[in-house]
Amino acid sequence: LTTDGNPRYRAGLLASLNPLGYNVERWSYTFHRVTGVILIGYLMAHIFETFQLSLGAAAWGNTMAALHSLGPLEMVGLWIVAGSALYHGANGIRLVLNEMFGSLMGKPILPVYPYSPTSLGRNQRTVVWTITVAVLVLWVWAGLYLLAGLGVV
Amino acid sequence: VDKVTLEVVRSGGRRVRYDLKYRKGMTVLDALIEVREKQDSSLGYRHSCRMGICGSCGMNIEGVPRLACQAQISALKTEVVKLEPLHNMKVLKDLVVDLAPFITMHKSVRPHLVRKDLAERDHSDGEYKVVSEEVNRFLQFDYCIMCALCYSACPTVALDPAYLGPQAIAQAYRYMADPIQLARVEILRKRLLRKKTRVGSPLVPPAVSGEVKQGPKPPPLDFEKGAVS
Repeated sequence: LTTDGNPRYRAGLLASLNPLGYNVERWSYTFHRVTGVILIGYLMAHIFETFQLSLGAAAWGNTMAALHSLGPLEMVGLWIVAGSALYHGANGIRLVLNEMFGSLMGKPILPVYPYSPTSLGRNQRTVVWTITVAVLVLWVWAGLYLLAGLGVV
Repeated sequence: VDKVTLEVVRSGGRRVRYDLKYRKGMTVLDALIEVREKQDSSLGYRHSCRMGICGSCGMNIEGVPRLACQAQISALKTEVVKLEPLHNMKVLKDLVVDLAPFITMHKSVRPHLVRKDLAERDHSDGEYKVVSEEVNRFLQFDYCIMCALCYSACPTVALDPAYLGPQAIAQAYRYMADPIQLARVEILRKRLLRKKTRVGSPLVPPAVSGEVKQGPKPPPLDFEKGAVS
């Protein structure tokens, strides 16, 4: 659709995921996308894993043995999945409030210099940072829980 | 700081540096103009008003899309200012990009008032009144200067060229939030109902009451012909 008829130019994946220089909402956009992809990957693997049950005890045993053979990597993987689920879930609730109900967005105002987006007002920032801190705390707790499973803590 | 260096990503990806003397209050656009006047007349960039109104001089300054005329060099806190063309659009030359996809998206939301009653639209006999509180609902979107900075910054456009982009969506909202469309119908209805009481006969026109079928649809106006539906 460009003037010379070529396909449209896109900045691509790296530019899409690069939040440097932007505000906190752009960071949350990046984290939301990345954690979403991680969760989809986990879901696929999880469906494959539980599918092995239908193939009998031996298949299930082999799958479990293969997973456990990863050693600590298995727990690191689960820890990353736990963090992704926490962030994606909590931020997802914020996005539903934003996009379906228009909450936290602030009221439209007369634009006056220096312009600041009302959509990133005090309420929005408070919720974004609350989510970040709460997810970090829960993520550390999840890490300790997984380490306890390994018998380390 | 008494000197500043512009590092411009020019066509083909080559980075070219221009050293120049810093003046107090110098913007990136001032520096670019000086480079083109005194050092390299082949440097390509767009600009017009130099005061943040025309929206022509959008470019990536230090990795973030900004208007060059509004970017004070002193505020960038660097002696080497990196300049790139806007993202998500094809580079035509140096810092000049092809705005066609951006404009296409803008047109596709029909960024103008669309009245259901075409006969009334084309032969309007009154003014549309909007109070300032209602205007404030969409004024910030009405102030859009179409600089394409948001389109360049948008991470969703970066992956999906079919996505409308922030500017087109904001323009769609601007016209959806405009109370004129409803107000005009209400004004007309009140006026006609008053006439009805006075004269004592049903004078409500077909367009308002829906009782009588409308006449043939008038041809579209010039500005509608170019709109993508």
